[in-house]
Amino acid sequence: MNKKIILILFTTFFALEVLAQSSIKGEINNSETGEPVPFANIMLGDKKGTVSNKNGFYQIDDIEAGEYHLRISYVGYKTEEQVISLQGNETLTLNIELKPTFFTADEVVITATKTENNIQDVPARVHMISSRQMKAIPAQTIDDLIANIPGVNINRSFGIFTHSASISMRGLNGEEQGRVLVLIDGIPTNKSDGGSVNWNLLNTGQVKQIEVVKGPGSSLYGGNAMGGAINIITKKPTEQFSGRASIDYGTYNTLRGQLNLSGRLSENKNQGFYWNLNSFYRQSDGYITASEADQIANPYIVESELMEWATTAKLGYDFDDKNGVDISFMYYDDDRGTGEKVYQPEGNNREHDTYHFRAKYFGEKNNLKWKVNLFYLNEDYKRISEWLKDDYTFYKVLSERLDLGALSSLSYQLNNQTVTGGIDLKQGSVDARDVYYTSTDIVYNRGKMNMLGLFLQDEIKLMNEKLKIIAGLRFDYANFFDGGFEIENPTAETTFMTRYHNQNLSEDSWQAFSPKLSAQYEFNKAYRVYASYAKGFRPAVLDDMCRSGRIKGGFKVADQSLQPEYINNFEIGADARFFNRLRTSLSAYYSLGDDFMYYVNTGDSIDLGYGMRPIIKASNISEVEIYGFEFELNYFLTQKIIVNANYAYAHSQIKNFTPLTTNDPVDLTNNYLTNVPDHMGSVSVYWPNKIVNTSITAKYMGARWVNDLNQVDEIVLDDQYPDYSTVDLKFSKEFKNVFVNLSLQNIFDQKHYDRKGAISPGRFITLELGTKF
Amino acid sequence: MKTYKLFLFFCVLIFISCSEEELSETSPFILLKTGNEFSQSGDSIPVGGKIKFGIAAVGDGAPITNLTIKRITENEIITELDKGVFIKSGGLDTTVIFVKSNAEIEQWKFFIMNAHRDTASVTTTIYKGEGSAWGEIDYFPSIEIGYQNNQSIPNYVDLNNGTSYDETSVAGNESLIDLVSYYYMSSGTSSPTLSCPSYPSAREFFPEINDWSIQNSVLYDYYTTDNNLITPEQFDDAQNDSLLVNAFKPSNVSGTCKFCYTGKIIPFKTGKGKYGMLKIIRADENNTGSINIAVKIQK
Repeated sequence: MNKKIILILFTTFFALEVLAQSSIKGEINNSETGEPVPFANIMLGDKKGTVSNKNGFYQIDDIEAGEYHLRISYVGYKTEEQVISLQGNETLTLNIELKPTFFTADEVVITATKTENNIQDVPARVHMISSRQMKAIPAQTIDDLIANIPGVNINRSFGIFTHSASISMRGLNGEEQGRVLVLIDGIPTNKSDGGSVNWNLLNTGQVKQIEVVKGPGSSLYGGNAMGGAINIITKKPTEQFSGRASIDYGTYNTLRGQLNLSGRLSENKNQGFYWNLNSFYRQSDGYITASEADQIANPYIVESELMEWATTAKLGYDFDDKNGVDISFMYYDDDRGTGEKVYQPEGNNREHDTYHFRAKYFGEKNNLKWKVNLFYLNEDYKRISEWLKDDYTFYKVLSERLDLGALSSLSYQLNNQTVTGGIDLKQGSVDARDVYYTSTDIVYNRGKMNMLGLFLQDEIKLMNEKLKIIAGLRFDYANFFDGGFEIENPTAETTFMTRYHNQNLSEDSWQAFSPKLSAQYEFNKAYRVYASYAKGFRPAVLDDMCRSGRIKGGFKVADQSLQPEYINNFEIGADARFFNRLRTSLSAYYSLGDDFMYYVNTGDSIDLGYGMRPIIKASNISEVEIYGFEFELNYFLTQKIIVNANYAYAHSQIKNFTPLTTNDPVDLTNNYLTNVPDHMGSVSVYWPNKIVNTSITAKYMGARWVNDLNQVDEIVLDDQYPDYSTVDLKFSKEFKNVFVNLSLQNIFDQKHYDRKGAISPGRFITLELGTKF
Repeated sequence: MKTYKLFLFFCVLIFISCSEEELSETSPFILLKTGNEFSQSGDSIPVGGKIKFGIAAVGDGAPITNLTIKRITENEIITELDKGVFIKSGGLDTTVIFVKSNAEIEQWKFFIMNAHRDTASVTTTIYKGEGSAWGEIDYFPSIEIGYQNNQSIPNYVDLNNGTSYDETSVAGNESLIDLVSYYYMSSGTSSPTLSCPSYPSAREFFPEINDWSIQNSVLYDYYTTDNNLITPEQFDDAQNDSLLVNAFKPSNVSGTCKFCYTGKIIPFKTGKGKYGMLKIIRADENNTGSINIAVKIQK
């Protein structure tokens, strides 16, 4: 009897509890266009939350009666907050309109400090490109998305046909990628072999956001973060199943297809398995890049064709919203012609057969946060070279470049202080050979470098969080070993190199300390000022340490004793908002570079088979002075029309050049660094509306010095590349699940030339049609 | 019987299943032609005399990509020819002519490679005969040649008879032209340059050459020139082809010779195998100027 009573009471109590539960549901829409906002985060109090589905619909069930703080947020939109009150057994329908914001100062970034901070809270110049901003940019490649950031210099002479693009910042040489660190989801992708990054690897459709941190970041990341760091963050699934497929067609018979599928195995976006599959394919007939003079002289000039494709698969598991693991695998392959074909079926070309494997484990408990990354990045590079002059020459460069490692960070928050530390381990290696098919020569080069990094950072908030100070220090140690340079069966092609034949190159090591101290004072949400000092460095690359060979201007010899080059950067900056419509930012910097690496004459000469040429080698021989400033403003012209304007000035000069030999006639002192535009700027107008979203961008690139000697170049016929301007347009429209994008890059067909006289592609138009499901 | 048939069946199966690569590995082949017109192994040839070889080769499944000829004596190994080629079909069939050196015994090695880097070789031995067979030469003491932007002086030269042609008179005589000259700045250095119709840079400065059906080649020994190994006096004293032949170093040659300043001596060999030498009497250093050369060449 008693048991029955208890059972009845329990059942009644339970039923009453169920009946007393409430729900809240509704739609999240864009306040300007009325379109649904998918994947918006809806948090009810601290413990309940959900994500809007692809139609912008959300629902939260099993809510006890009471008063709650409701918060709706999504990247690219102003966060909405309100207090709601729920009675028992009530279903509240609450539709929310989110106001889109182009400005990202309130967005959270992680790259600048390895901890989460609003951009406005980081005492440095940080830019974030959100998904919303990406939609307005007519981008064919990832670096196109970054091109409008003030002071960012993109070196991609042949558009999508470029096999080796580079990005530089803050007055550093425009052709050297090794002075800017590039990360994908926090994993460094600059190859140890040459410091380069393959900017063609990722599809724009995979990217969630891009964080750009200017100024040295070596106190956290170590090598390559001299001018700054760029972190490309890929998307993470939030819905049970979604997809996006598109095809686009454009200039030079360029065709691209993209497919993205993702899903979660549970309805709870903070728990369970998730997966993502992304793939793209592109091909193009290309165009003739060679100068008119080369076309006359060389009957073997052809269009530079391209074919590339990639697949990325990601699998992850969220234990909860703070703890999880994920692994991803990417395969990329391309075949890019370089515009000359004699006898080989595909002519001269470059291939990058690339495998990336990444694994991440992140967690948080109480005040402790941790992250561990493992990575394995392998690139099999193949270059086919053939030409017909006195006779026919055909050889292949086959190079395996491998970078693998483990990165860790641990953060502890105590009151107003966050201490972050970590250990990084990395090994980079190269194993390459030049195989000749028109002679018996084979040239081998190989080398490895182990790197260890230890870092520590302290973030302190004082004076009611108005004053923020960040201090950091990192120690890096690297060891070069297992190096070799060998020539097999030399003939006239390589016999001059035999004096450098060495199966066991000497080992060497270096170390670097990278301090940082920065502070900012926030007067209020509208005004802040900051100042910082940071030291960065670029390590020597394996190619300079273990490979000798022909380069422009002579013969390069390897040097294992190369040390890193350094930069000390002093910077001040300020941000201000006016009337909630205008945001401005200003940064000024002064940098002193030490031990900058340059190719210099050793004083010896060598007969390369077509005459005596100087022997040169990379050496740490110069001091560089760089200063400049950057200004940006974002203005809501109307409620819907957003204007962005920016300008950057850079002055980069060699202050002290010490040649290797006293009889070297070359003195670069007071010469300017090459390929650094003195002036850069852009103006963009973005107008989202219900008819067709429209954006227009006008860019200006200032004059750049052609060569280290700052002398008239015999091909360019000037000492500087001329300045030029381009205008880009993008029109986009979504109809329910279908979207159309028309991108017009360089609509006035402005052509420019590199130092070989090769020509850029000019106007590039693509039309994209796709669907979301 | 059944067992036998079964065994045969499996043999055939295995044979058929062999991949094409397993059945047909490339094996290039080279031989030297016989016949009275060609030098044979064991021949005795006086110093200065002509050595003539006929070469036949096949790549056998892959294009021939290299032909190398080496002259091996007691004292040295000279690479007389190391040429990249791409002969896809029909094989190689060519004749090469050299001049007998002073060595008592010369071993000649002929080597080919195909696009799979498979190789084949053949050797032959030539002995020094009695006497000397140096040949006569032609001498052209002064030939004026206009650079690329000089239309008042002829731009095209036939080295065999010292005749120069302008853009009008060259029509119909393109197959005789061995030499053109131009001026440019090479990596910041002034460079009066000698070239030949087959060389790409010559076509850049004289684009009309692209339309010539025959574009002759000349190989200039730039090493001897750059290092001033032959003096103008030696050039002036040459009465037969011994200096012309001995001065030419085949391992450092190109179809273009840069930095041909006044006073330089340049050994060369035409595409038809004639050895020669030229002296720069005067070289202007601007692209509307001209260059004056003296030429000695085998008859």
